[in-house]
Amino acid sequence: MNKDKKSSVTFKGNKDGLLVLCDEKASWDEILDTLKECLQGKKGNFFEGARVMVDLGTRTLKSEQAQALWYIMEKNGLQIKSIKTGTDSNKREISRREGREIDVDTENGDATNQLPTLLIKRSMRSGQNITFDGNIIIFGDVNPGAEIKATGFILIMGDLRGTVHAGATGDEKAWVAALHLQPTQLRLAGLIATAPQEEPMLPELAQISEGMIVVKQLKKSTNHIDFNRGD
Amino acid sequence: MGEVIVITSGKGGVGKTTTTANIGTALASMDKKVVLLDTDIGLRNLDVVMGLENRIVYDLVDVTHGNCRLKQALIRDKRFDHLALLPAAQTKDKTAVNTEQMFKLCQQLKEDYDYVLVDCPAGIEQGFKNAIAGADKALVVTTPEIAAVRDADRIIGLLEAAELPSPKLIINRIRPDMVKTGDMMDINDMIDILAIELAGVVPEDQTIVISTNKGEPAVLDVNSKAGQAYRNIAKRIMGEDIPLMSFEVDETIFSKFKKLMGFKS
Repeated sequence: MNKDKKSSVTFKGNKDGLLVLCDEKASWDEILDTLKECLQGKKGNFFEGARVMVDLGTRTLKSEQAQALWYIMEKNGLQIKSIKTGTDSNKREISRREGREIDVDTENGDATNQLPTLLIKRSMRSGQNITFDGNIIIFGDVNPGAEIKATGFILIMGDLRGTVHAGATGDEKAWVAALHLQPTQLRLAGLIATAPQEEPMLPELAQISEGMIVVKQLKKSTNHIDFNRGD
Repeated sequence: MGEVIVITSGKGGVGKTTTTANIGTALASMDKKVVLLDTDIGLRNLDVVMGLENRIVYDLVDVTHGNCRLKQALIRDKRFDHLALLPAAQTKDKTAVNTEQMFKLCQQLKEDYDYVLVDCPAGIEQGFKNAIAGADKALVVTTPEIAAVRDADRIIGLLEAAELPSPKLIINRIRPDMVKTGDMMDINDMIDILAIELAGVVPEDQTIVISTNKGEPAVLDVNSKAGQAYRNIAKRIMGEDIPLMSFEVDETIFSKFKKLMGFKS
């Protein structure tokens, strides 16, 4: 446990791992600097290998910010388990963000692009879970018993056999795609589906179309993949 | 300096204790100095499987609490002089020992033995944490059942988090005939999900039940298929390159004849 007096970052250990609390009032740069200092200094080795939950208070992260945070943690041998944002005034934060999304949506046609994206470069095993306010991309498998929850989309470059929830705060444009889409349970916004018995051979994409979860083959189009348009 | 190998599974009843007893005996039969450490405090079984239950005077908790010296608590096996067992306490529970004490104990045992095999209790609580505290390597035992594979997956995740990377997998109680008919998960399905290296596959074998009840590990029975599989795993632990046993279903002359005639067997 680190009790630096005026630190903008507080470390707390509990049985699940290390909780990193970031001061809401401190600037983002200040937080990154403090983190670097704490992790690379003499105390560095102390935290190595720890599983970290980062709590950012009411702050919301841009994708570069999330990446920077992720990079610092990885570089110092820490494993990010979850990133929490908007923890204080939770409801207000979400409605505000959704309001923003709708604005963006009419302009760019892709709301999920505006959310930060979390990259995970390992497989998720039973009992491991990730909750992220944004999109999640996993380079690895999601095994039965693992739970992935994102407010944006979830893309799995591997076999999906666990439980996933995209659009967890109600975004009906959220989608889930995997090389092998066979989830225990697939949730999109407020809808729930389970995978059929037969094994899919090709990458698939699940999205909401006319109030139902529809799964179709994930195909490469000549220019780009327009994930947000149901046909 | 030896190495500490923990044998774990998450789920109960998949054969951790049988595996520990058999691999330990197999290693001892190949002239290695081996000690078996039962960490299932309150539900000890390894002593029974080894047929040594009537020789217990002191146990693991006596050692960690300083009631006796380590050497006093070690029980020498009936068959091999250089095989020893440190039994768990039956009247205490898992909280009687902490991870630091276990770590120290493993370090101590490592000095005198080539292999310290730790029999881990089922579950992921204190008992599991104690068992892995001093381990250098881990063997994860599973059976071809979805529940067992899922628990193994959870355990592998926890082992990785505890910096015991690249555990190896033992698939126990496989029935080649059922795999062939598609009624049982096959080896590749399991490796696909768990994504770890295979240490060996042990077939379902009636001789295990008999030998377990008698307190005579199956590896000592030359006719036991499971015993053969355990001997192979022991050799792989020693660094030998042994190919996997093939489990061809024994074909009777009649079924071969039917095949020749073009009937499906």
